[in-house]
Amino acid sequence: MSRWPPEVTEALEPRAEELAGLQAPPAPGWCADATAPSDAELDRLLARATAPVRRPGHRPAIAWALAAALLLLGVMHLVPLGDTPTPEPVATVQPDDGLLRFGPSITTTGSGELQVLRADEAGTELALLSGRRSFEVDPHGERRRLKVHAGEVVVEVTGTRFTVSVQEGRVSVEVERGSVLVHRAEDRIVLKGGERWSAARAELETVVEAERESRPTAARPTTRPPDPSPQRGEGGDRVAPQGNPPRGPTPAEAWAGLLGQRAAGAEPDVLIAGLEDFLATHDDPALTAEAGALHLQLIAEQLPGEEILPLADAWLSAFPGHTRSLEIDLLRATIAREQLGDCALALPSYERIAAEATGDLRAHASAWAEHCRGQAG
Amino acid sequence: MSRPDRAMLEGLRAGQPWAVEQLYRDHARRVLGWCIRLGGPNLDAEDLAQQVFETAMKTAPRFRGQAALSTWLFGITRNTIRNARRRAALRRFVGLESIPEPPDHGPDTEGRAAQNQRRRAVQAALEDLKAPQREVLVLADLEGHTAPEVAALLGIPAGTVYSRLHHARKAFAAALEARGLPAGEEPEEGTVIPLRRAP
Repeated sequence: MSRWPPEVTEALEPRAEELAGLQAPPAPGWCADATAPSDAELDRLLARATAPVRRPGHRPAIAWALAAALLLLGVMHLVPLGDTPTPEPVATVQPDDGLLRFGPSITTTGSGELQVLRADEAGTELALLSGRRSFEVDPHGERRRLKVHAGEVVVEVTGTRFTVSVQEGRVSVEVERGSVLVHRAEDRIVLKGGERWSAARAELETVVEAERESRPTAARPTTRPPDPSPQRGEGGDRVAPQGNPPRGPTPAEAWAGLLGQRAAGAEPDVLIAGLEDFLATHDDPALTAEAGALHLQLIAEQLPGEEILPLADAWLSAFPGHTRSLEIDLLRATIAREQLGDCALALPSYERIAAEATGDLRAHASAWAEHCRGQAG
Repeated sequence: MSRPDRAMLEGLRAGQPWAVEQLYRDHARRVLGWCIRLGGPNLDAEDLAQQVFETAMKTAPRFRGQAALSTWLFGITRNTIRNARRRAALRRFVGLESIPEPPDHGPDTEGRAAQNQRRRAVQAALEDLKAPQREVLVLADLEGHTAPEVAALLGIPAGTVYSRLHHARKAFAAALEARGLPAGEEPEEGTVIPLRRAP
C-alpha cells in the first residue's frame, strides 16, 4: 500500500496529454542521422578552438594591454615576447615581386617587403617589414595555416582574405572575408569580414591618457554592453605621451564620418564598432546622446531584451527630455512587451510616449498603455 | 556540476587555453548538432557553433555554475540562434540580402550532395514547426534525451515537454509527408528530396 494519500499519487499519474505525447510516433531515425554533424564538420569546428577573444568593439578595454606592450617596445629586440619566438628569416622578398604563392593555399599580392620566416608542412610564417600586402588563404586547402608578423602584431589565419600594412609607424589589418586572430603580446582580438584594426604608437598613448583621466569621474552611462572579461593593465604604469600626438578628428567630424558610413549602407557590426569608439573617445554631450541612441537601436537587434532594457533605462535617465527619448521609449516598450512578455515593464514607456507624442504614435501608445494597465489590474 | 566541469569553468574564467580546448572537445559535437537542427537551412551551423563557444568564453565569468554546463551551453545556443535568425530576417526584410545558401565545405561528390540534400530537407521540415515544438522534438527524438532531461534543458515542466512533443511529432510527420518524405523509414537511395512543400 502506498505511503502517500490517493490525492498525491493521482496527481503524479501521467495526464492525458502526456500519454498522447508518448503515443504519437517519434520522428524517424533517418532524420537524426541526416542532421548529425559529420566528422569533417566537427574537425573544422575544433580547428577553430581558440583562446578567449575580445571583439573589436571593445578597443578601449584592450588599450591598457596595448599600452603595456608599448612599454616593452624599447626592449623588444632584447627580450622575445611570448613563448613562440619569431623564427629566423629564410628569405626576403623584395617589394616589386608582386604575386607570390606559398604552398597550394596561400597567395599574396602587393608591394610590401616580406621576410619568409617559415614555409613548410606545418604552415607559413611571414614578416611584413614595410608597405602593404593582401593575403588570400583558401579555407579548405592544404597547408593553409598562416601567420603574418607586422612589428609586434601577429595575424593568424586559417582561411580568409585580408590586408596588412606597415606604413609610417602604423600597423593596419583589414579583413575582407572570413576572420583573423590578431595578437599583440598577450592580447588577442578577432577581426571578421568588413572590419579593420589599426594602431599607431602616438594614437594609442592618447587613448590611454584619455581612459586614465576619465577614470575617477562618475561613470557616464553609455550603451556599450558590459565586458565581463577582466581588465588587464589597470595597475600598470602611466605611459607618458611622447612628442605631440597627431590631432584626431573633432567630435563633429567623427560623427559625420559615422553618419556617412551609415548612409553608405555599412554593416551593423561595423557601425556598432564605430559608435563604441566614438562613445569612448568623445565627450560632446549632444553627440554622445545621439550616438548612444543609435548604438542602442543597433545592438537591440543583436542582444537579448533583458540586456537591452537596463541600457535603455540608463540612456533615458542620462538624457531626459532628449528628442530621441520617444524612440528609445518605444524600443524599450516593444522589447518589454514582445520579447520579455512583461506589459507592466512596458507601461511607463507607453505612458511617457502617450504624454509627449502626437498623432498615430500617441494613439498607439495610449492604446497599449490602456491594455497594460488593464492587465496589471 | 561535476568536478571536471567545475575545473574547466574555472579555467575558462581564467582564460586558460587548455580549458578552451576542453570545452570544444567535450561539447563541439553537441553544440554543432543543436546548431544544425535548430538553426535551420539558411544559417551556417559551423559559424553559429563558433559564436556559441566565443560567447561561452566571454560569459564564463558570469556563469555561477548552478546549472549543468550543457544546460548553460544550450541557453547560449538558443540565444545565438534566435539572434542570428532575427538578424537574417531583418536583413531579408529590408532587402539587404536574399536567403543565402549555406556554404558547402566539403568536396563536391555525388554522395555528399545527396547527404546535404537530405539534411536540408529535414532542416526545412523542422522549420515548419513552431520554435518551442522544434526544440522539444530535436532534443527528445533526434538527440534521444529523456523528458526530464529535455525539461531541464528548456527550463519547462516535464508535462509541457510531453504535450509539446505530441504536437511536434504530428506537425513534423505532416511536414515530411508534405515534402513527399517517408515519416517512418529512410528514403531510398537516389530519391530526389524536394526542399519545399509540394504545392
